[in-house]
Amino acid sequence: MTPKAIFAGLTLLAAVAAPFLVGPYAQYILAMAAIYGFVGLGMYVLLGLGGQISLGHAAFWALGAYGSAVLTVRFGVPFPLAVIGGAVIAGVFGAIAAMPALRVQGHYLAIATLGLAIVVQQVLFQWDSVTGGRQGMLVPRPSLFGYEIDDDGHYYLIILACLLVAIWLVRNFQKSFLGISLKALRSSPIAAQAAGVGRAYHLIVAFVVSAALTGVSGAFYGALLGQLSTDSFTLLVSLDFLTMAVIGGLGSIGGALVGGIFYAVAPEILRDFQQAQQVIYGLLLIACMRLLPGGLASLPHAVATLFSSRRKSPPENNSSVELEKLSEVGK
Amino acid sequence: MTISRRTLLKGTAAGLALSLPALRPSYAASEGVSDTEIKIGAFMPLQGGLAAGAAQYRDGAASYFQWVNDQGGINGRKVNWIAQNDSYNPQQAVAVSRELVDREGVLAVVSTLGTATNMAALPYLKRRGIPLIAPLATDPALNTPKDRIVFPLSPSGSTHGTAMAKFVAENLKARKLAVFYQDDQFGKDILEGVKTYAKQNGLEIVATASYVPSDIDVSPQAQQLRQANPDAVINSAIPKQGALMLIEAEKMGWKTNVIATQQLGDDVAKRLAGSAINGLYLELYSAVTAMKTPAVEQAISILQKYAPKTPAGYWAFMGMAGAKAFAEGARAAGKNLTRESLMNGLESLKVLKTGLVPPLDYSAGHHSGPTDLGYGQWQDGEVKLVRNWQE
Amino acid sequence: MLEISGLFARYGGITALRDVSMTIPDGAVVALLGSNGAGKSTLLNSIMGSIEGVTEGSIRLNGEEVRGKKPTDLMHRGVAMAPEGRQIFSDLSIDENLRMGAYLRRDPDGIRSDRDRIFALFPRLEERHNQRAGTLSGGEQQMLAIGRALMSRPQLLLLDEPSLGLAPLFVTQIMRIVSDINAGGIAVVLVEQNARQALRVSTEGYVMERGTIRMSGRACDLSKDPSVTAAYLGGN
Ligand SMILES: Nc1ncnc2c1ncn2[C@@H]1O[C@H](COP(=O)(O)OP(=O)(O)OP(=O)(O)O)[C@@H](O)[C@H]1O
Ligand SMILES: [Mg+2]
Repeated sequence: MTPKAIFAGLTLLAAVAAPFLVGPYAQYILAMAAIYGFVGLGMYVLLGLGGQISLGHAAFWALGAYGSAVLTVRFGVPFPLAVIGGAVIAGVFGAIAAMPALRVQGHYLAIATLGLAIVVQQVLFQWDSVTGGRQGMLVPRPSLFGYEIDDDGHYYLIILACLLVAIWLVRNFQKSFLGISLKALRSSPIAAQAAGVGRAYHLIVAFVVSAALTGVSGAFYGALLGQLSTDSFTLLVSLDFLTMAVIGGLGSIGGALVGGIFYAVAPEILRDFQQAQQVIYGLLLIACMRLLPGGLASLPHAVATLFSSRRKSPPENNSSVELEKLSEVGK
Repeated sequence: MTISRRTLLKGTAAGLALSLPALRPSYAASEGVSDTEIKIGAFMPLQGGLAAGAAQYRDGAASYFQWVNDQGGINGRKVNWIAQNDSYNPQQAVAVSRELVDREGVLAVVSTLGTATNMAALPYLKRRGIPLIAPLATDPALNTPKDRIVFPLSPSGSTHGTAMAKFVAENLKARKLAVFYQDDQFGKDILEGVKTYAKQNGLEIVATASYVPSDIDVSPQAQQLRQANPDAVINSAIPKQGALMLIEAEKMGWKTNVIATQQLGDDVAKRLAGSAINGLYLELYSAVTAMKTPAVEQAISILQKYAPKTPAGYWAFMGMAGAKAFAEGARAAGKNLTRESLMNGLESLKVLKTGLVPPLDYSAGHHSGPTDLGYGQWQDGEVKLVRNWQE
Repeated sequence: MLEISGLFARYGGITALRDVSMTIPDGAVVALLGSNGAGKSTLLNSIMGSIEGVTEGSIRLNGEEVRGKKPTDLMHRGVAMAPEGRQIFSDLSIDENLRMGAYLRRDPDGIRSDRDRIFALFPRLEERHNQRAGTLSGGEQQMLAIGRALMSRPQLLLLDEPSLGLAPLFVTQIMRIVSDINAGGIAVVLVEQNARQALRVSTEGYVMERGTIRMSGRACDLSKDPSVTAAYLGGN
């Protein structure tokens, strides 16, 4: 057994054992971390591989949440199918969000996602016969084969299993020809298009995959919380997702997952700071961009290089590209 | 691809390490009661449009608990009441409830504020068996609940309607009624109450008119109601449209008896309606300072001592009423305080009199908010008491 | 192979090409010379269909009109370009870069043999085939850019200043590689600042000036022409 395999085994063991060692609230946080893990994967596909910034991922999250909830509540669709339904709905809207890619270049696409997010939130809010509008919408507990999953610990394990599948899929995706083409487009759009890579097609694929993953997250999220209201899917959430991705690290799937864990746990650690939380996120974001461009996921490596005289090339190779893009968006 | 796997694993490990301190099982099984402390909590919109009222509501409850603690607590235990913001976001109310129950391990949720938020949190609290005591909200599920865990504070919509109709019929000899109501469940419940009373007592509803909260002109509604020439108008609107209706009537020179809910009983309503507010009757389901009862005097002095900046009025009295209801119930539960014994304690009181809201019916199998309300009238810019509720 | 006549190109108000005509025979190496801003890149981009402005006139590839077609269409018809400034995929490995060059091809065996051929041409790339392209030296990156263009197995290869910023030794090497490529039957259009070296490996040459063709002829003739010598070959 290689050290890597041992490490992988231990990590998985810890992730599986965790809910049995802690109380209900921590189980809830674990479930949230796994749920955000899906968003992290989605951000990785779009931003890490595709180099595209979205200011509208809260909308895909909302669509997954509301979509699956409406499917279960109104149409009696079983929970697992409703989750898939939520992913499909979010994915379709991902394609719609990317449609401007057929016409516009660069950051206009990010602005377009922002527009879509605002429209989606407004429609969900106004369409109160379906979504409950201001009152919000009750979501039943998740159930599997007729059994209600009452315990958040068990629910977490189910989400974790799905997350592992998603990780496996995203790993294959990034190694696939499609994934390489997407990276090529990000790396040099001109040359990639000259090579015959269709920009619009690939960006649409990236958006669809990313939105669908985020939709799955939303579906799990709604069922965990038991209640949805449109106030929880604002621009601020979209920005938080971006922050989470950068802090975790854009360069790898590991970074995406760390980002998810960070986003779930940070509010608990920063609880006492209350309103200052957003400020702290902001500072952390800047600190990450300046000092740790590979995100938290590169922290072990950064520490290792600090203590070893031998200089290695950093494993997170492409984050700086995205960080540049991110800072351009601010302009 | 070796790199990505390695960072993946490192990442997960780092994340887990990071999260461990937050994952300790805390109160999970303890029901929030130690030898010295009773932990309870609440959610309310401390940010957003309702923030001003919510802050007074919180101060009312908090100052009462402080007073109780200074008196030696409840059966020797101090009350630790954790009030958290939900921004009037139902989803956040659920998240706060989870935190209170699973993280803080509270005994009960006490003195919450908001209909949508309470409705959202209810299924979760029910599932976990957490008593919800004194939610300030208007919905049958919270005012005349089916769930044992709910101990109401305020009257149901139909009670408001019945109480207002009853007053104009009995005290003002009105036979023909007109109703102005909000076009949603809140307004329709009140209208139902009026209709029920009218039917039972042979009154006639000669006109109804509705509005939506975004309306800025209610003159057509005022015209419509006036044409029916009612003996009394039941104005069940929220302060903005309620005040607009009063102003329209004054402009038209239409003098008639009008009764409104207590929502039109505070300074905000007075500012909105100006002189048009004088003569307006109010149903009262919360104390007003004009009630010179010992309970009200005590409430005012507690507020003065512990929250001197908070005005004595609807919000503070409502918050305090919930706190008082909890304290009474916990005291009755005795030394062995659990969620179960707390609910038994509250039910053992059967009728709970706080003096700050009309008597609450907490008898086993039948929890309900107040049914017999008080009445007041705006005179010279002040609410005067016409008739107190039956204690 | 390629027949350009009466070609105009405009970027908004700027006319970058004015009535350009040019012939590229099968298997030729055509040097395209001219000072900065003369319109050389514009001409290559017009051929490739990757121009950002609008074009007018005619570009015929083996008799078929291709002006206004998309880069992929040109690639399908056997034209490939190594654009100015290399434009390699710095986040991808060298292998992946080459794979991207063969993006439109669906013959795995052919792709593999072409990859081996390119590695034979550029042994430096083979040694580093798993390395991230961004870590290559400038010259190596240029080799990769050419190699990637070759991966589409073109009949006509457009090279836009392949020696830009390279040390003299590298420039010579690149020129030798151009000859090698051409020896395999591929026609090459070579845009170069380094006119002397370019003309040495070319069969014909064109000199551009402010969007028009100033002069054209056999490469050996051009390198002897006094005006060309004066303007581009540094006198004598
Ligand atoms: N995308 C563009 N938009 C507007 N003008 C452009 C664009 N590309 C080129 N031009 C203009 O067209 C003219 C010709 O440019 P081109 O790049 O073809 O020159 P060049 O001969 O390749 O020069 P160099 O040797 O410096 O690469 C220049 O004046 C340039 O400013
Ligand atoms: Mg050029």
